[in-house]
Amino acid sequence: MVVLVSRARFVAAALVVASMAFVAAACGGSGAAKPRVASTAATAVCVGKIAVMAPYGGLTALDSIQMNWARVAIDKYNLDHNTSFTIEPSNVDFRPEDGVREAKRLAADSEVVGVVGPQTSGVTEAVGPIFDAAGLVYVSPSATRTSLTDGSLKNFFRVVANDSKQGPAIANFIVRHLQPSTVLIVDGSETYSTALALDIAHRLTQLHTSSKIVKVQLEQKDYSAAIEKIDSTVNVVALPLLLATDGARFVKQMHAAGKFPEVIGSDMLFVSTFDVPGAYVSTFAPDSSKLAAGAQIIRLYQSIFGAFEPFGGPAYVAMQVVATAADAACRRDGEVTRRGVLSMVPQVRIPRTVIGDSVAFDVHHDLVGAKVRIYRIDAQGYVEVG
Amino acid sequence: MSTSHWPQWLSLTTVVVLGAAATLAGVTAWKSAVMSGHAVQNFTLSTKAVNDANALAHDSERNITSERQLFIDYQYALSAPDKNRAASIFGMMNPNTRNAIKWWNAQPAGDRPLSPFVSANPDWSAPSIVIGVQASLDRADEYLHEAKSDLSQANNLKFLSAMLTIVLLASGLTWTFESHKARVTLLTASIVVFVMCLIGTWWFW
Repeated sequence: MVVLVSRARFVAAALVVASMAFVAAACGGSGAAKPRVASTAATAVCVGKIAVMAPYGGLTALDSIQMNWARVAIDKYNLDHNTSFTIEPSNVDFRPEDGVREAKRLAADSEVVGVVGPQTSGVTEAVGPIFDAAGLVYVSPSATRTSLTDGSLKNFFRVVANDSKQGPAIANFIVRHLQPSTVLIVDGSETYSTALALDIAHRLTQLHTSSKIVKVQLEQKDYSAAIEKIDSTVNVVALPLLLATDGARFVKQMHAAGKFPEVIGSDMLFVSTFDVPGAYVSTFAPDSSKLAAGAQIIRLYQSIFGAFEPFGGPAYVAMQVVATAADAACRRDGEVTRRGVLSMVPQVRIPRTVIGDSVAFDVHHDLVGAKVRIYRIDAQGYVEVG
Repeated sequence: MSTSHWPQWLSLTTVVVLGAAATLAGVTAWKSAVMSGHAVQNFTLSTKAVNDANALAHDSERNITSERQLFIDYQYALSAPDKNRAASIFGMMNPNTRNAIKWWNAQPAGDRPLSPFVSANPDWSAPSIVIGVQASLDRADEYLHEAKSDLSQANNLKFLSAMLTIVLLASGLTWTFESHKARVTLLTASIVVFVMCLIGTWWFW
Protein backbone atom coordinates (compact mmCIF):
# COMPACT_ATOMS: atom_id res chain seq x y z
CA MET A 1 0.00 0.00 0.00
CA VAL A 2 2.69 2.50 0.90
CA VAL A 3 6.08 2.80 -0.62
CA LEU A 4 8.62 3.98 1.89
CA VAL A 5 12.33 3.89 2.20
CA SER A 6 13.48 0.89 4.18
CA ARG A 7 14.92 2.91 7.04
CA ALA A 8 11.71 4.80 7.58
CA ARG A 9 9.71 1.55 7.51
CA PHE A 10 12.03 0.09 10.08
CA VAL A 11 11.70 3.09 12.37
CA ALA A 12 7.90 3.06 12.06
CA ALA A 13 7.71 -0.62 12.74
CA ALA A 14 10.04 -0.26 15.68
CA LEU A 15 7.91 2.52 17.15
CA VAL A 16 4.71 0.51 16.83
CA VAL A 17 6.31 -2.59 18.32
CA ALA A 18 7.81 -0.52 21.14
CA SER A 19 4.49 1.09 21.94
CA MET A 20 2.78 -2.31 21.93
CA ALA A 21 5.47 -3.70 24.17
CA PHE A 22 5.05 -0.75 26.52
CA VAL A 23 1.30 -1.16 26.64
CA ALA A 24 1.62 -4.91 27.12
CA ALA A 25 4.03 -4.33 30.00
CA ALA A 26 1.66 -1.80 31.53
CA CYS A 27 -1.24 -4.22 31.23
CA GLY A 28 0.71 -7.01 32.84
CA GLY A 29 0.53 -5.38 36.23
CA SER A 30 -3.07 -4.34 36.04
CA GLY A 31 -4.81 -7.57 35.34
CA ALA A 32 -4.52 -8.92 38.86
CA ALA A 33 -7.62 -8.20 40.95
CA LYS A 34 -7.11 -6.51 44.28
CA PRO A 35 -7.85 -8.64 47.33
CA ARG A 36 -11.43 -7.83 48.25
CA VAL A 37 -11.79 -9.51 51.59
CA ALA A 38 -9.52 -8.70 54.46
CA SER A 39 -7.52 -11.67 55.56
CA THR A 40 -8.19 -12.87 59.05
CA ALA A 41 -5.44 -14.04 61.31
CA ALA A 42 -5.91 -17.54 62.64
CA THR A 43 -6.03 -16.42 66.24
CA ALA A 44 -6.14 -13.11 68.04
CA VAL A 45 -3.24 -12.85 70.45
CA CYS A 46 -4.00 -9.53 72.12
CA VAL A 47 -6.16 -10.35 75.11
CA GLY A 48 -6.94 -8.67 78.39
CA LYS A 49 -9.74 -7.25 80.47
CA ILE A 50 -10.57 -3.56 80.25
CA ALA A 51 -12.63 -2.54 83.25
CA VAL A 52 -15.43 -0.01 82.97
CA MET A 53 -16.20 1.74 86.23
CA ALA A 54 -19.67 3.17 85.66
CA PRO A 55 -23.18 2.54 86.95
CA TYR A 56 -25.30 -0.16 85.35
CA GLY A 57 -28.26 -2.39 86.04
CA GLY A 58 -30.35 0.24 87.81
CA LEU A 59 -32.84 2.83 86.74
CA THR A 60 -31.09 6.14 87.50
CA ALA A 61 -30.65 8.87 84.88
CA LEU A 62 -27.08 8.04 83.92
CA ASP A 63 -27.40 4.33 84.48
CA SER A 64 -25.79 2.08 81.85
CA ILE A 65 -25.22 4.93 79.37
CA GLN A 66 -21.44 4.92 79.66
CA MET A 67 -21.32 1.13 80.01
CA ASN A 68 -23.35 0.78 76.79
CA TRP A 69 -21.08 3.12 74.86
CA ALA A 70 -17.95 1.44 76.20
CA ARG A 71 -19.34 -1.95 75.24
CA VAL A 72 -20.03 -0.86 71.67
CA ALA A 73 -16.50 0.56 71.53
CA ILE A 74 -14.73 -2.59 72.72
CA ASP A 75 -16.75 -4.94 70.49
CA LYS A 76 -16.18 -2.70 67.50
CA TYR A 77 -12.49 -2.42 68.28
CA ASN A 78 -12.14 -6.19 68.53
CA LEU A 79 -13.88 -6.69 65.20
CA ASP A 80 -11.84 -4.04 63.42
CA HIS A 81 -8.45 -4.96 64.89
CA ASN A 82 -8.74 -8.70 65.45
CA THR A 83 -8.16 -8.40 69.18
CA SER A 84 -9.93 -10.19 72.02
CA PHE A 85 -10.26 -7.63 74.77
CA THR A 86 -13.15 -8.20 77.13
CA ILE A 87 -15.10 -5.84 79.30
CA GLU A 88 -14.88 -6.10 83.09
CA PRO A 89 -17.86 -4.24 84.54
CA SER A 90 -17.49 -2.34 87.78
CA ASN A 91 -20.76 -1.01 89.07
CA VAL A 92 -19.97 2.35 90.69
CA ASP A 93 -22.05 5.50 90.55
CA PHE A 94 -21.18 8.58 92.61
CA ARG A 95 -20.44 6.92 95.95
CA PRO A 96 -16.69 6.95 96.72
CA GLU A 97 -16.97 4.02 99.14
CA ASP A 98 -18.34 1.81 96.33
CA GLY A 99 -15.51 3.01 94.13
CA VAL A 100 -12.86 2.10 96.68
CA ARG A 101 -14.29 -1.40 97.12
CA GLU A 102 -14.40 -1.95 93.37
CA ALA A 103 -10.98 -0.40 92.77
CA LYS A 104 -9.45 -2.88 95.20
CA ARG A 105 -11.15 -5.76 93.38
CA LEU A 106 -9.92 -4.56 89.98
CA ALA A 107 -6.40 -3.93 91.28
CA ALA A 108 -6.28 -7.51 92.56
CA ASP A 109 -7.40 -8.96 89.23
CA SER A 110 -4.19 -9.41 87.24
CA GLU A 111 -6.11 -9.78 83.96
CA VAL A 112 -7.36 -6.19 84.18
CA VAL A 113 -4.97 -4.06 82.11
CA GLY A 114 -6.73 -0.70 82.10
CA VAL A 115 -9.82 1.10 83.30
CA VAL A 116 -12.43 3.29 81.63
CA GLY A 117 -13.81 5.56 84.32
CA PRO A 118 -14.67 6.51 86.96
CA GLN A 119 -17.73 8.55 86.11
CA THR A 120 -17.45 11.25 88.77
CA SER A 121 -14.70 13.40 90.20
CA GLY A 122 -15.48 12.35 93.78
CA VAL A 123 -15.01 8.68 92.99
CA THR A 124 -11.89 9.44 90.96
CA GLU A 125 -10.29 11.17 93.93
CA ALA A 126 -11.09 8.16 96.11
CA VAL A 127 -9.95 5.39 93.76
CA GLY A 128 -6.99 7.18 92.16
CA PRO A 129 -4.39 6.20 94.76
CA ILE A 130 -5.47 2.54 94.52
CA PHE A 131 -5.17 2.45 90.74
CA ASP A 132 -1.90 4.37 90.84
CA ALA A 133 -0.43 1.87 93.30
CA ALA A 134 -1.59 -1.03 91.12
CA GLY A 135 -0.05 0.48 88.00
CA LEU A 136 -3.42 0.72 86.27
CA VAL A 137 -4.20 3.50 83.83
CA TYR A 138 -7.69 4.98 84.23
CA VAL A 139 -9.28 7.14 81.55
CA SER A 140 -12.40 8.98 82.61
CA PRO A 141 -15.13 9.95 80.18
CA SER A 142 -16.74 12.45 82.58
CA ALA A 143 -14.68 13.33 85.68
CA THR A 144 -14.08 17.04 85.18
CA ARG A 145 -12.75 18.47 88.43
CA THR A 146 -9.72 20.54 87.52
CA SER A 147 -7.49 19.32 90.37
CA LEU A 148 -7.64 15.71 89.17
CA THR A 149 -4.91 16.49 86.66
CA ASP A 150 -2.70 18.57 88.97
CA GLY A 151 -0.21 15.69 89.17
CA SER A 152 -1.52 14.06 92.33
CA LEU A 153 -3.09 11.19 90.35
CA LYS A 154 -0.28 9.98 88.12
CA ASN A 155 -2.14 7.39 86.01
CA PHE A 156 -5.29 9.44 85.48
CA PHE A 157 -6.32 10.67 82.01
CA ARG A 158 -9.56 12.14 80.76
CA VAL A 159 -11.11 12.63 77.34
CA VAL A 160 -13.27 15.63 78.25
CA ALA A 161 -12.72 19.28 79.11
CA ASN A 162 -12.11 20.04 82.78
CA ASP A 163 -14.00 22.46 84.99
CA SER A 164 -11.44 25.22 84.50
CA LYS A 165 -13.09 25.47 81.09
CA GLN A 166 -16.63 24.52 82.05
CA GLY A 167 -17.14 27.04 84.88
CA PRO A 168 -16.00 30.04 82.83
CA ALA A 169 -17.90 28.76 79.77
CA ILE A 170 -21.15 28.68 81.76
CA ALA A 171 -20.51 32.10 83.31
CA ASN A 172 -19.55 33.64 79.98
CA PHE A 173 -22.69 32.28 78.38
CA ILE A 174 -24.87 33.64 81.18
CA VAL A 175 -23.38 37.10 80.87
CA ARG A 176 -23.44 37.24 77.08
CA HIS A 177 -26.83 35.66 76.41
CA LEU A 178 -29.08 35.70 79.46
CA GLN A 179 -28.89 39.37 80.62
CA PRO A 180 -28.41 38.44 84.28
CA SER A 181 -29.20 40.75 87.17
CA THR A 182 -28.31 38.23 89.87
CA VAL A 183 -27.41 34.57 89.33
CA LEU A 184 -28.33 31.93 91.90
CA ILE A 185 -25.85 29.04 91.82
CA VAL A 186 -27.08 25.80 93.38
CA ASP A 187 -24.22 23.88 95.02
CA GLY A 188 -24.93 20.15 95.44
CA SER A 189 -22.52 19.82 98.39
CA GLU A 190 -20.15 17.26 96.90
CA THR A 191 -16.73 17.48 95.23
CA TYR A 192 -17.80 18.11 91.67
CA SER A 193 -20.67 20.44 92.37
CA THR A 194 -18.94 22.61 94.95
CA ALA A 195 -15.84 23.16 92.83
CA LEU A 196 -17.86 23.98 89.72
CA ALA A 197 -20.17 26.34 91.63
CA LEU A 198 -17.13 28.24 92.87
CA ASP A 199 -15.65 28.37 89.36
CA ILE A 200 -18.87 29.84 87.99
CA ALA A 201 -19.16 32.36 90.82
CA HIS A 202 -15.54 33.40 90.43
CA ARG A 203 -15.90 34.04 86.73
CA LEU A 204 -19.19 35.93 87.21
CA THR A 205 -17.43 38.19 89.70
CA GLN A 206 -14.70 38.85 87.15
CA LEU A 207 -17.43 39.80 84.69
CA HIS A 208 -18.96 42.19 87.28
CA THR A 209 -22.12 40.10 87.60
CA SER A 210 -23.80 39.56 90.94
CA SER A 211 -24.24 35.98 92.11
CA LYS A 212 -25.03 34.00 95.23
CA ILE A 213 -24.54 30.36 96.11
CA VAL A 214 -27.11 28.21 97.85
CA LYS A 215 -26.25 24.75 99.16
CA VAL A 216 -28.47 21.69 98.74
CA GLN A 217 -27.84 18.02 99.39
CA LEU A 218 -27.55 15.07 97.01
CA GLU A 219 -30.95 13.51 96.32
CA GLN A 220 -32.69 16.17 98.42
CA LYS A 221 -36.45 15.82 98.10
CA ASP A 222 -37.61 19.30 99.08
CA TYR A 223 -35.87 22.36 97.68
CA SER A 224 -38.27 24.97 99.04
CA ALA A 225 -35.61 26.61 101.22
CA ALA A 226 -33.30 27.06 98.24
CA ILE A 227 -36.13 28.19 95.99
CA GLU A 228 -37.02 30.91 98.46
CA LYS A 229 -33.67 32.50 97.65
CA ILE A 230 -34.94 33.18 94.13
CA ASP A 231 -36.23 36.67 94.75
CA SER A 232 -37.14 39.39 92.28
CA THR A 233 -33.48 40.18 91.58
CA VAL A 234 -32.60 36.63 90.50
CA ASN A 235 -33.33 35.97 86.85
CA VAL A 236 -30.84 33.14 86.20
CA VAL A 237 -30.37 29.87 88.09
CA ALA A 238 -27.25 27.79 87.49
CA LEU A 239 -27.45 24.12 88.41
CA PRO A 240 -23.97 22.56 88.59
CA LEU A 241 -25.45 19.38 90.05
CA LEU A 242 -24.22 15.80 89.97
CA LEU A 243 -27.58 14.13 89.48
CA ALA A 244 -29.93 14.96 86.63
CA THR A 245 -32.87 13.80 88.72
CA ASP A 246 -31.98 16.43 91.34
CA GLY A 247 -31.84 19.11 88.66
CA ALA A 248 -35.18 18.09 87.16
CA ARG A 249 -36.80 18.00 90.62
CA PHE A 250 -35.39 21.42 91.52
CA VAL A 251 -36.81 23.00 88.35
CA LYS A 252 -40.17 21.29 88.80
CA GLN A 253 -40.50 22.62 92.35
CA MET A 254 -39.30 26.05 91.26
CA HIS A 255 -41.93 26.25 88.53
CA ALA A 256 -44.55 24.97 90.96
CA ALA A 257 -43.61 27.90 93.20
CA GLY A 258 -44.35 30.26 90.31
CA LYS A 259 -40.72 31.15 89.60
CA PHE A 260 -39.44 31.00 86.04
CA PRO A 261 -35.88 32.32 85.78
CA GLU A 262 -33.55 31.19 82.99
CA VAL A 263 -31.98 27.83 83.90
CA ILE A 264 -28.57 26.55 82.94
CA GLY A 265 -27.29 23.14 84.00
CA SER A 266 -23.83 21.59 83.97
CA ASP A 267 -22.58 18.59 82.00
CA MET A 268 -24.12 15.95 84.28
CA LEU A 269 -27.54 17.29 83.29
CA PHE A 270 -26.90 16.61 79.60
CA VAL A 271 -29.25 13.62 79.65
CA SER A 272 -32.88 13.10 78.72
CA THR A 273 -33.91 12.93 82.38
CA PHE A 274 -33.25 16.66 82.64
CA ASP A 275 -36.05 17.47 80.23
CA VAL A 276 -36.70 21.17 80.79
CA PRO A 277 -37.72 22.91 77.54
CA GLY A 278 -35.99 26.27 77.19
CA ALA A 279 -33.25 25.42 79.70
CA TYR A 280 -29.58 25.38 78.78
CA VAL A 281 -26.99 22.72 79.53
CA SER A 282 -23.26 22.74 79.15
CA THR A 283 -21.54 19.62 77.93
CA PHE A 284 -18.10 18.22 77.31
CA ALA A 285 -19.53 15.97 74.59
CA PRO A 286 -21.37 17.30 71.57
CA ASP A 287 -24.73 15.86 70.59
CA SER A 288 -23.22 13.25 68.32
CA SER A 289 -26.59 12.47 66.75
CA LYS A 290 -26.08 15.69 64.80
CA LEU A 291 -22.56 14.80 63.65
CA ALA A 292 -21.64 12.82 60.56
CA ALA A 293 -18.56 11.44 62.32
CA GLY A 294 -20.54 9.27 64.68
CA ALA A 295 -23.47 8.31 62.48
CA GLN A 296 -22.38 4.71 62.03
CA ILE A 297 -21.71 4.19 65.73
CA ILE A 298 -25.02 5.79 66.67
CA ARG A 299 -26.81 3.39 64.33
CA LEU A 300 -25.02 0.55 66.06
CA TYR A 301 -25.84 1.90 69.49
CA GLN A 302 -29.52 2.27 68.66
CA SER A 303 -29.68 -1.20 67.09
CA ILE A 304 -28.39 -2.72 70.32
CA PHE A 305 -29.71 -0.49 73.07
CA GLY A 306 -32.55 1.53 71.57
CA ALA A 307 -32.73 5.03 73.05
CA PHE A 308 -29.68 7.15 72.30
CA GLU A 309 -27.96 9.31 74.95
CA PRO A 310 -25.18 11.63 73.73
CA PHE A 311 -23.84 11.96 77.28
CA GLY A 312 -22.07 8.62 76.88
CA GLY A 313 -20.13 9.48 73.71
CA PRO A 314 -16.86 10.15 75.59
CA ALA A 315 -17.07 6.65 77.12
CA TYR A 316 -16.72 5.29 73.59
CA VAL A 317 -13.66 7.49 73.13
CA ALA A 318 -12.18 6.51 76.51
CA MET A 319 -12.54 2.82 75.64
CA GLN A 320 -11.00 3.50 72.23
CA VAL A 321 -8.02 5.11 73.98
CA VAL A 322 -7.44 2.21 76.37
CA ALA A 323 -7.97 -0.45 73.68
CA THR A 324 -5.66 1.36 71.26
CA ALA A 325 -2.96 1.59 73.93
CA ALA A 326 -3.41 -2.07 74.90
CA ASP A 327 -3.24 -3.12 71.25
CA ALA A 328 -0.11 -1.04 70.66
CA ALA A 329 1.52 -2.43 73.81
CA CYS A 330 0.65 -5.96 72.68
CA ARG A 331 2.22 -5.43 69.26
CA ARG A 332 5.32 -3.90 70.82
CA ASP A 333 5.82 -6.30 73.73
CA GLY A 334 4.06 -9.42 72.52
CA GLU A 335 1.67 -9.30 75.46
CA VAL A 336 -0.66 -6.87 77.18
CA THR A 337 0.48 -5.70 80.59
CA ARG A 338 -0.58 -2.85 82.84
CA ARG A 339 2.83 -1.27 82.48
CA GLY A 340 2.67 -1.55 78.69
CA VAL A 341 -0.79 0.00 78.47
CA LEU A 342 0.19 2.79 80.86
CA SER A 343 3.24 3.60 78.75
CA MET A 344 1.22 3.74 75.51
CA VAL A 345 -1.78 5.86 76.59
CA PRO A 346 0.10 9.20 76.43
CA GLN A 347 1.07 8.38 72.85
CA VAL A 348 -2.44 7.59 71.66
CA ARG A 349 -3.59 9.86 68.84
CA ILE A 350 -7.05 9.59 67.35
CA PRO A 351 -7.52 12.13 64.56
CA ARG A 352 -11.32 12.10 64.57
CA THR A 353 -13.52 10.40 67.12
CA VAL A 354 -17.21 9.53 67.02
CA ILE A 355 -17.90 12.80 68.83
CA GLY A 356 -16.10 14.77 66.16
CA ASP A 357 -13.01 15.82 68.11
CA SER A 358 -9.47 14.50 68.07
CA VAL A 359 -7.63 12.81 70.93
CA ALA A 360 -4.17 13.66 72.19
CA PHE A 361 -3.09 14.27 75.77
CA ASP A 362 -1.03 17.11 77.18
CA VAL A 363 1.60 16.69 79.87
CA HIS A 364 -1.06 16.95 82.59
CA HIS A 365 -3.05 14.11 80.96
CA ASP A 366 -5.83 16.47 79.92
CA LEU A 367 -7.29 16.38 76.44
CA VAL A 368 -5.62 18.77 74.01
CA GLY A 369 -8.13 21.19 72.49
CA ALA A 370 -11.00 20.08 74.73
CA LYS A 371 -14.13 22.17 74.33
CA VAL A 372 -17.22 22.95 76.37
CA ARG A 373 -20.44 23.46 74.45
CA ILE A 374 -23.74 24.95 75.52
CA TYR A 375 -27.02 23.51 74.24
CA ARG A 376 -30.60 24.70 74.59
CA ILE A 377 -33.21 22.04 75.20
CA ASP A 378 -36.18 22.38 72.90
CA ALA A 379 -38.87 20.21 71.37
CA GLN A 380 -36.50 18.91 68.68
CA GLY A 381 -33.85 17.94 71.21
CA TYR A 382 -30.59 19.78 71.78
CA VAL A 383 -29.73 22.94 69.85
CA GLU A 384 -26.15 24.18 70.09
CA VAL A 385 -26.08 27.82 71.13
CA GLY A 386 -22.59 28.38 72.44
CA MET B 1 -4.11 7.36 -4.52
CA SER B 2 -0.40 7.87 -4.73
CA THR B 3 2.07 8.58 -2.00
CA SER B 4 5.17 8.89 -4.05
CA HIS B 5 5.17 12.68 -3.86
CA TRP B 6 4.59 12.77 -0.11
CA PRO B 7 7.39 14.03 2.07
CA GLN B 8 8.97 11.15 3.88
CA TRP B 9 8.30 12.55 7.34
CA LEU B 10 4.58 12.86 6.58
CA SER B 11 4.30 9.26 5.57
CA LEU B 12 6.26 8.12 8.56
CA THR B 13 4.21 10.24 10.97
CA THR B 14 0.97 8.98 9.50
CA VAL B 15 2.05 5.39 9.92
CA VAL B 16 3.15 5.99 13.50
CA VAL B 17 -0.12 7.74 14.40
CA LEU B 18 -2.15 4.98 12.76
CA GLY B 19 -0.23 2.27 14.59
CA ALA B 20 -0.23 3.98 17.96
CA ALA B 21 -3.91 4.92 17.74
CA ALA B 22 -4.86 1.37 16.81
CA THR B 23 -2.82 -0.05 19.64
CA LEU B 24 -4.12 2.44 22.19
CA ALA B 25 -7.70 1.92 21.03
CA GLY B 26 -7.28 -1.80 21.56
CA VAL B 27 -5.72 -1.34 24.97
CA THR B 28 -8.37 1.10 26.21
CA ALA B 29 -11.11 -1.20 24.96
CA TRP B 30 -9.49 -4.09 26.79
CA LYS B 31 -9.06 -2.07 30.00
CA SER B 32 -12.66 -0.89 29.74
CA ALA B 33 -13.81 -4.50 29.49
CA VAL B 34 -11.69 -5.39 32.53
CA MET B 35 -13.18 -2.54 34.55
CA SER B 36 -16.69 -3.51 33.52
CA GLY B 37 -15.86 -7.00 34.77
CA HIS B 38 -14.66 -5.57 38.09
CA ALA B 39 -17.84 -3.51 38.34
CA VAL B 40 -19.99 -6.60 37.83
CA GLN B 41 -17.88 -8.50 40.36
CA ASN B 42 -18.27 -5.71 42.91
CA PHE B 43 -22.01 -5.39 42.30
CA THR B 44 -22.26 -9.13 42.92
CA LEU B 45 -20.17 -8.94 46.08
CA SER B 46 -22.21 -6.00 47.29
CA THR B 47 -25.45 -7.90 46.77
CA LYS B 48 -23.98 -10.92 48.53
CA ALA B 49 -22.79 -8.81 51.47
CA VAL B 50 -26.25 -7.24 51.79
CA ASN B 51 -27.84 -10.68 51.68
CA ASP B 52 -25.37 -11.95 54.30
CA ALA B 53 -26.08 -8.93 56.50
CA ASN B 54 -29.83 -9.39 56.16
CA ALA B 55 -29.56 -13.07 56.99
CA LEU B 56 -27.30 -12.29 59.95
CA ALA B 57 -29.66 -9.53 61.13
CA HIS B 58 -32.62 -11.87 60.84
CA ASP B 59 -30.78 -14.58 62.80
CA SER B 60 -29.61 -12.17 65.47
CA GLU B 61 -33.09 -10.68 65.94
CA ARG B 62 -34.53 -14.17 66.23
CA ASN B 63 -31.81 -15.18 68.70
CA ILE B 64 -32.27 -12.05 70.80
CA THR B 65 -36.04 -12.52 70.96
CA SER B 66 -35.64 -16.22 71.64
CA GLU B 67 -33.06 -15.77 74.42
CA ARG B 68 -35.25 -13.16 76.13
CA GLN B 69 -38.33 -15.36 75.94
CA LEU B 70 -36.44 -18.40 77.18
CA PHE B 71 -34.99 -16.37 80.04
CA ILE B 72 -38.46 -15.17 81.08
CA ASP B 73 -39.74 -18.75 80.97
CA TYR B 74 -36.66 -19.92 82.87
CA GLN B 75 -37.17 -17.35 85.62
CA TYR B 76 -40.85 -18.19 85.80
CA ALA B 77 -40.04 -21.91 86.14
CA LEU B 78 -37.48 -21.17 88.85
CA SER B 79 -39.91 -19.07 90.86
CA ALA B 80 -42.75 -21.63 90.45
CA PRO B 81 -40.64 -23.53 91.64
CA ASP B 82 -40.31 -26.14 88.90
CA LYS B 83 -36.66 -27.14 88.75
CA ASN B 84 -37.17 -29.79 86.08
CA ARG B 85 -38.83 -27.32 83.75
CA ALA B 86 -36.14 -24.72 84.52
CA ALA B 87 -33.41 -27.25 83.72
CA SER B 88 -35.18 -28.20 80.52
CA ILE B 89 -35.47 -24.56 79.40
CA PHE B 90 -31.86 -23.93 80.36
CA GLY B 91 -30.87 -26.88 78.18
CA MET B 92 -32.71 -25.36 75.21
CA MET B 93 -30.68 -22.17 75.37
CA ASN B 94 -27.63 -21.69 73.18
CA PRO B 95 -24.23 -21.69 74.92
CA ASN B 96 -23.88 -17.90 74.74
CA THR B 97 -27.22 -17.36 76.48
CA ARG B 98 -26.35 -19.95 79.11
CA ASN B 99 -23.04 -18.18 79.76
CA ALA B 100 -24.82 -14.82 79.97
CA ILE B 101 -27.22 -16.22 82.55
CA LYS B 102 -24.40 -17.87 84.50
CA TRP B 103 -22.60 -14.49 84.70
CA TRP B 104 -25.81 -12.83 85.81
CA ASN B 105 -26.45 -15.44 88.50
CA ALA B 106 -22.89 -15.02 89.77
CA GLN B 107 -23.34 -11.29 90.44
CA PRO B 108 -23.83 -10.17 94.03
CA ALA B 109 -27.50 -9.47 94.72
CA GLY B 110 -26.89 -5.74 95.16
CA ASP B 111 -25.08 -5.40 91.84
CA ARG B 112 -27.16 -7.78 89.77
CA PRO B 113 -28.77 -6.03 86.80
CA LEU B 114 -32.46 -6.50 86.12
CA SER B 115 -31.66 -8.76 83.18
CA PRO B 116 -28.62 -10.76 82.00
CA PHE B 117 -28.83 -9.04 78.63
CA VAL B 118 -27.02 -5.83 79.49
CA SER B 119 -23.87 -4.22 78.15
CA ALA B 120 -22.00 -4.96 81.37
CA ASN B 121 -22.35 -8.70 80.82
CA PRO B 122 -19.19 -9.80 78.96
CA ASP B 123 -20.90 -13.05 77.96
CA TRP B 124 -23.85 -11.36 76.29
CA SER B 125 -23.03 -11.77 72.62
CA ALA B 126 -25.76 -9.66 70.98
CA PRO B 127 -23.64 -6.46 70.65
CA SER B 128 -20.87 -8.20 68.73
CA ILE B 129 -23.44 -9.88 66.46
CA VAL B 130 -25.10 -6.55 65.69
CA ILE B 131 -21.68 -5.02 65.05
CA GLY B 132 -20.94 -7.92 62.68
CA VAL B 133 -24.16 -7.18 60.79
CA GLN B 134 -23.23 -3.54 60.53
CA ALA B 135 -19.74 -4.45 59.32
CA SER B 136 -21.30 -6.59 56.60
CA LEU B 137 -23.52 -3.71 55.52
CA ASP B 138 -20.52 -1.41 55.50
CA ARG B 139 -18.69 -3.91 53.31
CA ALA B 140 -21.66 -3.93 50.95
CA ASP B 141 -21.47 -0.14 50.75
CA GLU B 142 -17.76 -0.31 49.97
CA TYR B 143 -18.32 -2.84 47.19
CA LEU B 144 -21.12 -0.74 45.75
CA HIS B 145 -18.95 2.35 45.83
CA GLU B 146 -16.12 0.50 44.09
CA ALA B 147 -18.52 -0.92 41.51
CA LYS B 148 -19.80 2.54 40.68
CA SER B 149 -16.25 3.83 40.40
CA ASP B 150 -15.23 0.89 38.15
CA LEU B 151 -18.26 1.41 35.95
CA SER B 152 -17.53 5.09 35.57
CA GLN B 153 -13.91 4.29 34.71
CA ALA B 154 -15.02 1.68 32.14
CA ASN B 155 -17.35 4.19 30.50
CA ASN B 156 -14.64 6.82 30.29
CA LEU B 157 -12.25 4.36 28.71
CA LYS B 158 -14.92 3.28 26.25
CA PHE B 159 -15.32 6.90 25.23
CA LEU B 160 -11.56 7.22 24.72
CA SER B 161 -11.56 4.07 22.67
CA ALA B 162 -14.25 5.54 20.44
CA MET B 163 -12.25 8.75 20.06
CA LEU B 164 -9.19 6.75 19.09
CA THR B 165 -11.19 4.99 16.41
CA ILE B 166 -12.01 8.41 15.02
CA VAL B 167 -8.29 9.27 15.11
CA LEU B 168 -7.61 6.09 13.24
CA LEU B 169 -10.18 6.99 10.60
CA ALA B 170 -8.94 10.57 10.31
CA SER B 171 -5.32 9.46 9.94
CA GLY B 172 -6.36 6.99 7.29
CA LEU B 173 -8.19 9.70 5.38
CA THR B 174 -4.99 11.74 5.18
CA TRP B 175 -3.99 9.65 2.18
CA THR B 176 -7.05 10.72 0.20
CA PHE B 177 -6.23 14.42 0.11
CA GLU B 178 -4.19 15.92 -2.69
CA SER B 179 -3.49 19.16 -0.88
CA HIS B 180 -0.40 19.04 1.26
CA LYS B 181 -1.88 21.61 3.64
CA ALA B 182 -5.05 19.56 4.10
CA ARG B 183 -3.05 16.45 4.83
CA VAL B 184 -0.91 18.22 7.41
CA THR B 185 -3.97 19.81 9.02
CA LEU B 186 -5.83 16.51 9.29
CA LEU B 187 -2.77 14.74 10.58
CA THR B 188 -2.14 17.49 13.14
CA ALA B 189 -5.74 17.26 14.33
CA SER B 190 -5.38 13.48 14.59
CA ILE B 191 -2.19 13.82 16.60
CA VAL B 192 -3.78 16.36 18.96
CA VAL B 193 -6.77 14.11 19.59
CA PHE B 194 -4.46 11.13 19.97
CA VAL B 195 -2.35 12.92 22.58
CA MET B 196 -5.49 13.93 24.46
CA CYS B 197 -6.66 10.33 24.37
CA LEU B 198 -3.24 9.19 25.57
CA ILE B 199 -3.45 11.59 28.53
CA GLY B 200 -7.03 10.54 29.16
CA THR B 201 -6.05 6.88 29.16
CA TRP B 202 -3.26 7.57 31.63
CA TRP B 203 -5.68 9.55 33.80
CA PHE B 204 -8.49 6.99 33.79
CA TRP B 205 -6.29 3.87 33.85
